[in-house]
Amino acid sequence: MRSTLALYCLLFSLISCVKPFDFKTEDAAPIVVVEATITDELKTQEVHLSYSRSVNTDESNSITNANVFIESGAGDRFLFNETDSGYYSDIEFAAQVGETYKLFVNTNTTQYQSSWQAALEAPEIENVYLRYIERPSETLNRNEEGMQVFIDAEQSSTEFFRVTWDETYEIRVPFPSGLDYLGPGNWIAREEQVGTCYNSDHSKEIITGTSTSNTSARLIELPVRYISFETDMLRNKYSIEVTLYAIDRETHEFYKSLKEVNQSGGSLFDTQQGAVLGNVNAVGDESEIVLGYFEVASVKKKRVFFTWDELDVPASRPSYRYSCTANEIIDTTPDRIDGLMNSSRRLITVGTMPPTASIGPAECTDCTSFSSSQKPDFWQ
Amino acid sequence: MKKTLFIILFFGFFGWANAQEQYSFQFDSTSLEQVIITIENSSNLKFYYQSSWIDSLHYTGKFVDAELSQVVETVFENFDIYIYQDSNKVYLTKGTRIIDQPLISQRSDSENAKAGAKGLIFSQDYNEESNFDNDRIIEIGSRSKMSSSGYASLVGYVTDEKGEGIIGALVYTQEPVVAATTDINGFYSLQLPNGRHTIFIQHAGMEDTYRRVVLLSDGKLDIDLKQDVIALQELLVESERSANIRNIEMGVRKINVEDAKSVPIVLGERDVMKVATTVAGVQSLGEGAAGFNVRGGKSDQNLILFNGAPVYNASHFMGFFSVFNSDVIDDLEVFKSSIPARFGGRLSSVFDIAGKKADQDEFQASAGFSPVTSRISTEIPVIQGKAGLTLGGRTTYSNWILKQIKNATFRENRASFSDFVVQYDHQLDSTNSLTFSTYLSTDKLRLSSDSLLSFSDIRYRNTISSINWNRLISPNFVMDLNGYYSRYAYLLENDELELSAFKQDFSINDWGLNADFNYYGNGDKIYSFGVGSKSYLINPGSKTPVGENSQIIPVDLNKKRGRESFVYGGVEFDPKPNLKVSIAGRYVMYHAIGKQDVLLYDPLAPKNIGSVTDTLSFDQGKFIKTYHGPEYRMSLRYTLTANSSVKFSLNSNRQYLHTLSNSASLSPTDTWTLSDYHLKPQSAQQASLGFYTNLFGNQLEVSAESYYKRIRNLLDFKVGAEFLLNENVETVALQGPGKSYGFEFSLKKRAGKLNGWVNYTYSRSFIRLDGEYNEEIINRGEYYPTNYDKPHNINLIANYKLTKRISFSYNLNYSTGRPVTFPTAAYDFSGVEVLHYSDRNTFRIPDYLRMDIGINLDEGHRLKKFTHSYWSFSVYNLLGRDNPYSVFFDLRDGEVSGYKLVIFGSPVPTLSFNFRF
Repeated sequence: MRSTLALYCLLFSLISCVKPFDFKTEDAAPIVVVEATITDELKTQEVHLSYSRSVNTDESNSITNANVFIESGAGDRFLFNETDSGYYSDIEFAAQVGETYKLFVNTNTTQYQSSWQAALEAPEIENVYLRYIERPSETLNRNEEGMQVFIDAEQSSTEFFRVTWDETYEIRVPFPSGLDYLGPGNWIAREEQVGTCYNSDHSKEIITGTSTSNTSARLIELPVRYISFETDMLRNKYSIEVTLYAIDRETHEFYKSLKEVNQSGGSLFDTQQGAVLGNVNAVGDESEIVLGYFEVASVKKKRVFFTWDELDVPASRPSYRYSCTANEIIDTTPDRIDGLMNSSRRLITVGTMPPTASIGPAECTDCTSFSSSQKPDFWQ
Repeated sequence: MKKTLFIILFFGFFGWANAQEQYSFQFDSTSLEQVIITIENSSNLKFYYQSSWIDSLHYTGKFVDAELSQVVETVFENFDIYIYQDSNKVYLTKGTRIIDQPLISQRSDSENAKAGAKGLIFSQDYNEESNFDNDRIIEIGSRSKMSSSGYASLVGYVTDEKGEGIIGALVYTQEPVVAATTDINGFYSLQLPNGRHTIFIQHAGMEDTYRRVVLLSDGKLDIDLKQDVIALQELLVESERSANIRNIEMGVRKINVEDAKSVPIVLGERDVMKVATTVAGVQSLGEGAAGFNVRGGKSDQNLILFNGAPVYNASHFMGFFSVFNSDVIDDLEVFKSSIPARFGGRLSSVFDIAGKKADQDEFQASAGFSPVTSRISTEIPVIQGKAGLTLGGRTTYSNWILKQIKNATFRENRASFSDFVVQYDHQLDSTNSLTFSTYLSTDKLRLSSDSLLSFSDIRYRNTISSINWNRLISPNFVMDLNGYYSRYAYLLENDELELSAFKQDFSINDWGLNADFNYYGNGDKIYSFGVGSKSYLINPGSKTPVGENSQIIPVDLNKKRGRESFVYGGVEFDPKPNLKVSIAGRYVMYHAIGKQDVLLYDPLAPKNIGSVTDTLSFDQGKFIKTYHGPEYRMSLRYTLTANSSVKFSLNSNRQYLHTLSNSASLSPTDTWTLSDYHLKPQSAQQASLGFYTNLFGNQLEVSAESYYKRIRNLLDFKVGAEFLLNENVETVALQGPGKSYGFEFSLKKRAGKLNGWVNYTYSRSFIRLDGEYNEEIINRGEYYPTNYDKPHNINLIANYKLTKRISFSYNLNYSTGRPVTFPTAAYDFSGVEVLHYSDRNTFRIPDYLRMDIGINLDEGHRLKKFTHSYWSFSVYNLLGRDNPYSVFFDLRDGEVSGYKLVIFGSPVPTLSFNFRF
């Protein structure tokens, strides 16, 4: 519906229709949040327990000293030990497809239990592909160009899915700095290159899909991620790993509600917002709100790589992240380097015969100033 | 203490002064003219009439030793000729009897009589006074016949330049204040003290005029009005003046199309519906919102009728324009508390819109152009004096505008609408008339979708046809037969993705037949009764693949059928001179009809797909569920003085049709559904009390009304409910009790250089959802404000006529912001930051305040000019205030940002050109 808005803005020549809004709200008392996804991967499984936080702070309080365990329908019990970053299973285990599981959390005051959750079979991801799409920009008053990442899954009996992704892309700076300026009169050749970096990110939105609406009973053409050419992500090489979770109808409903409540907005016809309650309840107190969900899923992953040249799209190559023209490079002589250097500049080259030196802004010469040059293990 | 005398024209009242004599007549197919001559010759009666009315009429009958009054009454009751007698003068009028103007008070008491003979002067005095048209003093009656009571009757016809009677013209004197309105033939009657008077005559579109008279005895004064050359600009003096005091209905507001002229316009369109939403108790949702809320009711609780047929989506462009071209509307009546028994099926209000009856004598046309829309309407006489055709059309050229916008990469977007009205009126004979009308409105939007799952094309259309037969069974028995068909449908289409390309549709079809009867009995009794039935057929949605490669599975939800039948009867009467009572009852029977598969749910679990226990299958035509019950409509009016009254009303309504919508407004993609096995009908009971008074000779109308409403089974929805293609709406719907109460205060000045209205409304509206399971309990099962609870509301509309050519209009609209749900906590879940929301509707968006101004400039002032045209310039939202339509929240990097959606967040100027000929 955001496009509807854009239409009206345009139609009536109003540039901005969505404006910041200052609001005052009362903070709710902390609410227990359960975050637990048990997958069919053999690993140390995690459970995170926390209290909700005030809307104006970002510090979350974990729940400590809780007794956490999961029981299977077959009677197995998996214990979880508390660490600084959450509760981890004391052994590695994988959820078995067809088996049911239940989460138990006992805090000092209250006992929490989830409903029984079954693990369903996840189909293989058949294809992860990109397609050129133009769409109205959320920030610019025009369309933007970009690539939409889709996935197709193989046929299976599972109907409901959710998807997460992890992406990594290569960043290059136009004028890589070859020298490390250590202090007045002191520069040495860099041991590690700072011309190529890798940036990674993971999905920050809820992506759900079903296979119920098409004849092939497959999850097809599920839009996963849109990458705008307004960014530099597709300038060089891009990789995305998609994780497909096979979930049941109730879990799907939960995620969908969460998505609608959390991500809707800015439309003329908004949806009803409210608390989205999951499958964990306080034993003996129906009125206590428990947020979060205990999810059991089997997962499948697929990673793909793309370079700009392989995309073959009717658009010009995305530009560098920062505007870096030759004008921003200072050509000088070695004796003037000390006077020109500061923390936001890098030394690109220094020549002795004839005596030349070039200095550039950090964002054009050193990608480690905003990213990491550490190449991920999976990078091809 | 000065007594005010009110004489209101009424018929059927005979005060035969010397009717003791007995007469015998025999007529055998005698022409009516001959009958009259015969009676005149044998009595002292003198008849006044226009011979064209009676030249084709004949009468057969016999009277033996009958009283003269009885003879006259009997003869004329066979024709649609009405009689008004004043001593030995009998005035004949043709057309429908005016019954809604009963005598309020007739205080010809002795005190007043003594005060009569006002300013009586001798002829030589006034002969010397100026001799110009208006200022000429007309002597009426003769001194020899001067009545001892000090009073005399002044009667006559108000006509236009062509000699045709003007209906609804106001004829009045200021001292004492005596007023009458002309009937269907332009006839008026005033009872005045003998002496010198200035008679003022006002009518919309006509030049205000006056006559100076010296009333000596009963007499006749015909007045012809000149058409006002700036008629388009003319302020309206309505025939309903003082109707607010006299009428028994409360919470009724008649919106005249003329009213729309005094309101600044938006984007070049005058909009009667928008004016209607400035009435006290009616709250619009701000720009961009279709629908409106009446007295704390949901937007689907309003019944909008066009010539008797319901309209399901009354807005274009998602609410920026109403679907009606104001040029083809005669008038619009808003009923918000005492809804007449002939209407039903919605809880909050009825907006009864009458299409324009074409001029049957002369071709007329009007048109308007603005940067966004253009419209044209014509009135074409088909049979001189008998039949006329109204044609109206309106369209946008926004597509063209969209293309013109430079640097627009939105070139894929399209938005356009159009609407057409055809209305044919035929006066078959003196007792039968037929109206046929059809209406079509279409909207097309194409949006380059941001999300690939959103719809790229939306088209929606209203199709409405109706036929009305009005028959005068006898002069006091009227029948109205109305048949209609109404359809609202939309189609969504997305073909951007080849494998997932689909079409999705929805439609509601509604057809019905109503028979309404009004019988004007003895005294002031009016009996109304009728019967009707309507059928619904809803296609809740079907989804079909588009293109050969689409892998979309077709979905076709079962059609829903229902039938709503009713019978009603009521009577309106005056048990005492200052008390009027109207009592009506209505019985409604509703059937949900198969074919349908009904899911049964585990009674120990919340209704959702997981708790289905069984399925009941109903065959085609089988009754799935029947709901029935009585409704009552009762009103009382007690006149305190000639200028003030108190009214009380009590009524109930039932509603079987509901919109499925989460939002406060109506969206074109909202679907309507019927009460069925699970979804219960909504019902409401409302009590209202009001006080009405007119001050300064009816110049200023003041009213105060308060109401309390109780609603059963009000509909709301679970968090994040999804309706599209949802076969089992009961899994997301919640029903619970609601209550609304409020107070409305309104001031209206109808005439004068400065005119307009201002009203204040205090209105609250609550709902309680206290189900058995967590997902069915909202706000701990306590009453909470509905989405449309806006306590304070102020509307001010003012019009100032600077000169004959220039007038200014001003509009101010204020209301409390509507309730919303704010985030009160945040948490991380599965790598996503999530907001947790407060109790439903505990916070409010900022208050709404908007100010508009308009300037109208008439082009010519020449009398003989062929066309009348005017320019109008308006600025919408003059203050450029960012009124949030809605607010929403975004959580990024641990920080919650609030955003508001603003539509028309800056002043919007529009220039439009209008003309008529």
